Amino acid sequence: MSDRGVLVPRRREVRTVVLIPAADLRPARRERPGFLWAAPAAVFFTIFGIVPIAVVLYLSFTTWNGLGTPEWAGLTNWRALPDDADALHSIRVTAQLTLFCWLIQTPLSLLLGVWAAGPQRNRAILSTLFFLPLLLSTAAIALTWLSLLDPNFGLAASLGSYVGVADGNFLGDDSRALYAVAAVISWQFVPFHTLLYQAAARQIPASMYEVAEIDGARTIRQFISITLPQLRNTIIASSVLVVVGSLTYFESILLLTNGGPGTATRVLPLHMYVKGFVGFDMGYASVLAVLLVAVGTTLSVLIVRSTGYHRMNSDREGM
Amino acid sequence: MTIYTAARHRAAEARPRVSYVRPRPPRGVGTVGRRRPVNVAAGIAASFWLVIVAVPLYYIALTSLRTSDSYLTDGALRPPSGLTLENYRQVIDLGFDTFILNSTIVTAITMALVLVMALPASYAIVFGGTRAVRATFNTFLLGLAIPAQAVIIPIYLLITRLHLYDSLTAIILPTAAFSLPMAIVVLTSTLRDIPRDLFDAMTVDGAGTVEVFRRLVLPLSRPGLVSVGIFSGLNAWNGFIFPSC
Amino acid sequence: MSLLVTTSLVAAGGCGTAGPGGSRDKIQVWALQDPQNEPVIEAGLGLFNQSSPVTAELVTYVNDAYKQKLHVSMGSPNAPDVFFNWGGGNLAEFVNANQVVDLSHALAARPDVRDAFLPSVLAVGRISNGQYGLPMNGIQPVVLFYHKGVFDKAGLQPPKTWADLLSLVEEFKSRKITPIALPGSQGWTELMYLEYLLDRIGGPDRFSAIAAQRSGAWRDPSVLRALQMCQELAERGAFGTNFASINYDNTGASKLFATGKAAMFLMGSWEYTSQLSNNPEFVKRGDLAWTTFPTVDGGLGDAANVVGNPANYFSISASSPHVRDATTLLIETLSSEEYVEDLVNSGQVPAVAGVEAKLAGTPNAEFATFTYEMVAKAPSFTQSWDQALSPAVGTEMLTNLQKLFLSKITPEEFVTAMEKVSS
Repeated sequence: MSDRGVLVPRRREVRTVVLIPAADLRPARRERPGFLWAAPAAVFFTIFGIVPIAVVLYLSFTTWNGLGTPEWAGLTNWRALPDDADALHSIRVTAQLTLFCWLIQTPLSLLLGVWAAGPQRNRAILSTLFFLPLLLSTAAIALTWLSLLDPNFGLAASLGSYVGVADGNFLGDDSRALYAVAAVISWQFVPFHTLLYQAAARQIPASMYEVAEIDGARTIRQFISITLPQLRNTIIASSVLVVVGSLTYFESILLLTNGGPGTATRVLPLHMYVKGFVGFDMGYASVLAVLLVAVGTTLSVLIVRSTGYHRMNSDREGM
Repeated sequence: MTIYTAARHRAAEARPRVSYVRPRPPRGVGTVGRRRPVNVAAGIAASFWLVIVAVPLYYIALTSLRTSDSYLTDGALRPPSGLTLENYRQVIDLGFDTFILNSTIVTAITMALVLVMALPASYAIVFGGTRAVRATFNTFLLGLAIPAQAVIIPIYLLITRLHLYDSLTAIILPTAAFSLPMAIVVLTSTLRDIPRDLFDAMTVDGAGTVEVFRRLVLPLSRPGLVSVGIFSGLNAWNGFIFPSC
Repeated sequence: MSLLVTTSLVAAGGCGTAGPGGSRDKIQVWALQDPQNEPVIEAGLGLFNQSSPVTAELVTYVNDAYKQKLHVSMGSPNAPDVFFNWGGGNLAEFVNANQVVDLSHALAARPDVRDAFLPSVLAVGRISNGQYGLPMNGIQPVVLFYHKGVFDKAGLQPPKTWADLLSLVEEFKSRKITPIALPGSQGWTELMYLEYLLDRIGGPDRFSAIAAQRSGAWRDPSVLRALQMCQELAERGAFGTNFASINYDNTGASKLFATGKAAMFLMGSWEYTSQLSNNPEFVKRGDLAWTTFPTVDGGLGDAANVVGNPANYFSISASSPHVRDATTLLIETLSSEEYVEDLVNSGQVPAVAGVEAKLAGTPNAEFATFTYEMVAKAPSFTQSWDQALSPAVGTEMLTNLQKLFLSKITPEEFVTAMEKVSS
């Protein structure tokens, strides 16, 4: 990177020139990165993302038990969908779980991230501890909590009575199980989001706080009028990850409650997994997979619309 | 322009210009925070969280040293009556090294694949903008929230029909593919922070796309690469469903 | 507690771990990782390898991923030559896809081998008149365990009839002891009650009709009665209030029982071995006692009938290049003197006729003899329903059963739901 020194003055030099659109001046000499640069990602995503989605759509019109050859079945699987009360229920559970996860994770990791961004040494040590759960796999975390939530011998037995659950019945009660699952998932992912907020909070110029201090603004006021607006993009990015993640991380649920009691914690991806890989009804599971793709795409559109991600390539030029 | 992008620009303006040419913000940006008043709310939350994080970690460390008959009856958090290294021996006997090796390989390759493909693509999206690139970007945006789990059934078909003997490959490829959209969103937003005039200056001077990528994009995208690396790495490390097929 | 550590590592490592190297010049034998059974199989293969032109090698897998791994491989060139399975519905799926070798002819040529196995156990490896699997390990009937210390202290006797059981429930409740431990977070543990009750009420034919997908089989009044009795038992508080949070795999239920916080435990015979290694004191004190499932007044079923896992089976892939040698391997090994002896010494009860004498000499002779006689004398041995039915029906049944035990659905709704899936 020895050329960096050259880069800096050159940038300053050009700053005045930029007022004349360079493209008009010397169109022949300007080289912009073309599609070739995006081609590897595009081709890769097509082969291992889009093609499989097309295949899953095809499979949703077949009956297949995972052995032998899928056989064309027309609309049979799709006709079964409206009768499947569990499918509709699982979409509702997914939405609830997403909401709970967001409500727990966002305020917690925002506060923790801002706190951990501070310079004190004890914070550095403590935040290292905070990030430790990042190193554990989903399975290890789920099994640990499964034992901690054992109603007779775990923490649930000794602490349950303090939260009004004297018999420690968290995972087995269908009104509580989903909260318990959301709490465990949050325990796993708060460190990651804290990391995001910590990095972003460090980028906030200290001068802004200095000015606020001179104006006599107190901590909470500073947090609300400086920190929060400055972290706006990170809040959006982190929320997007929570929402997207809630469609992905069903492994914890599989191990904690297996979707139960009954179907109380069965989210859509888990419902698909159970139909496909436990019941080996791959045709119907494909219908659920298509539904999952549809939910995912709808969410993507909503996210992109509300965040303006899609304008990223053009808004600089529009300035 | 949406409120979101406006806010983003405000933030960019407020930042010291010098940070654009350095891969990391200068130390000074963080250390001035020392003058910030103590944040009580965050401090309370942090101590509360410390307990919540520490208890299960303590429990994991403790149970790994427990004999199986004292597990549960000892009480979850009481120091165990007898400690043993037996569990570790069993884990090693089960082929622990293979498991760790596999996880590491999967994680490393997935991360590398995602970074190597997503950065050039983001470069083309931010600085190129031909119709084909735009279409590609839009496709990726549509895939932003589609979980990789949606395609486990075709992947399963792939393994059985296409004779994909090496199941590690079968794990890596779809995991990487579905990490790409998020990686590209993060990286494009990082690259967008590179001032346009920097790019223009280089191209006006006749620098080729490769040179711009090497001298401008690569050094300035490091923060984005780190977050994407962590994100896709976590995805792969936690991949449980793909491995189980 | 290695369960937590190992399972998490296994889950993190996943497949690829035991990927068959693809050496197709050997007979690949797939089985579950099982410290009790593995050495027995290894020894059996070793003996076979001494005289065979083709060598057999054992590849083992962790329980969780095995069913899926097998399902994936059966359709592919990665298929094993010999594979471990549970008989019943799962095996039938492979048979219907023409992926399993019929051993009927090989058995007909060796009547001594055919007659060596207990008929009720051998029958579970039979699918539509073909013998597709041979028993390869011990029998695992479901047994009613009880805590002798707790019973003695209360001056109570183990139940002989359903009415006894119900009054015991009240007795223990009044003493603040959970009458029966039930790991209700896993539906298969609840299934054992339904299996036994239907057999006691209506006899084994009721379930045969269900397994054969006869229309209206779920609507049978005996099924409804059995479901009502299950729900009634749960509603009376026989399992406590938090049973749906209790897990079997993390030994939560076994602990509850071993520590005397629960008085009884209906579980597969493997629970004995599990208690022996997890709570040795409990077994040594003589507090671990056992009996058969209670009878039901006016029931049509024979009180000697048994439900559970008859055994696990070895079957041969139709796509194997070594069908002939693999057949020889199974026929010559599984009922051989040495193999049966090794099974007994590993603490298992082989599904082979006339092993009483061998069992008598073992350290846990009392329990081994009890299970052996229970099965040998049983007019019928009904396989666990979730194994006997097709996987699609089996999973649906377990989910609905959980709802039934929690009184989220009525027995009628259970029947309606099951009729819908089975059709």
